[in-house]
Amino acid sequence: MTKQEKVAKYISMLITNSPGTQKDFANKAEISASQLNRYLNGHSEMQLGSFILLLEALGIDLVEILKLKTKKASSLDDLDLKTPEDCLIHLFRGLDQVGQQTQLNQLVWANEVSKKPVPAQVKIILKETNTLV
Amino acid sequence: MSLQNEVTSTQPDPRIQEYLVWYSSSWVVRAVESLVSAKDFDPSAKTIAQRLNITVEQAVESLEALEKLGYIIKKNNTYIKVENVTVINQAVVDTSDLLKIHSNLAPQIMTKLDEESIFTTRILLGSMPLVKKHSHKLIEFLKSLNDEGEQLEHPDVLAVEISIAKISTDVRGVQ
Repeated sequence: MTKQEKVAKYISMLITNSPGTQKDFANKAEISASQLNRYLNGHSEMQLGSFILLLEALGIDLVEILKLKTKKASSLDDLDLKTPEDCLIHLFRGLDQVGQQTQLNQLVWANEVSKKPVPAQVKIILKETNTLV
Repeated sequence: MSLQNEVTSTQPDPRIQEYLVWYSSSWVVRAVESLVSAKDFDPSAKTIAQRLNITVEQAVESLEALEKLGYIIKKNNTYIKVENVTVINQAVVDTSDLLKIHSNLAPQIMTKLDEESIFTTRILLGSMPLVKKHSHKLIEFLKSLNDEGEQLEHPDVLAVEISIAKISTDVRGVQ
């Protein structure tokens, strides 16, 4: 399935699960119902303007999403990361609880297979806090 | 993601989503699920905890999660596994979700490896269609292992992680 077909499929699902008919959404997107139907079936491509209007009718503000993404990208670019350790700390903080516990266990394991003794304190802390993995 | 078994789909539970996330991201609940099929399975949380080297709380939570998800049911003071439910494949879960599940679980399995484990790392020639052509052998291997394991009086719980990735890029036609 191409990305275009996937998008059409998701939009079709959203329309089905939203109040209003396919014709209502076609009107909001300023296209005909048959044109919308052709797009949803993957038989034709939709103009960007109609696409944006259709998403808005479905409660998806494309401009807001792009704005958020731009903000996120620029704040990530401002990070002051210089060493692998800096990267490690940054990436670790971005993980969810399962991810953090998994990575900590992996670090302990990597130390052990590297024949580097793991401080008892580390093991105690991990034993107390590792509740998921 | 839709991993919940139909058995419990009519009994909404506020923690279902939490259980699904846990089931998809931790080896603990998977190990308890496997253990339920063992001939010598003892449903006591303490015994499960000792056997899997997990805490009693994790054992209790795992049993609860598996029961709520409909993967196991209580019967005659013990638990039994519901047949044919925990087959997770692309038919029910998106490939990107499957990769997330694998990426969570695979590193956890790695931490259980020691010198006694069976492991191999190979870089070799092939193609993804060839991998798909031969993948049934791996599926048969896993099935045989589990089927015969269920017949053992005192089976171990094993973790298997298989990853095959294409590491080269397609340069056909490039001079």
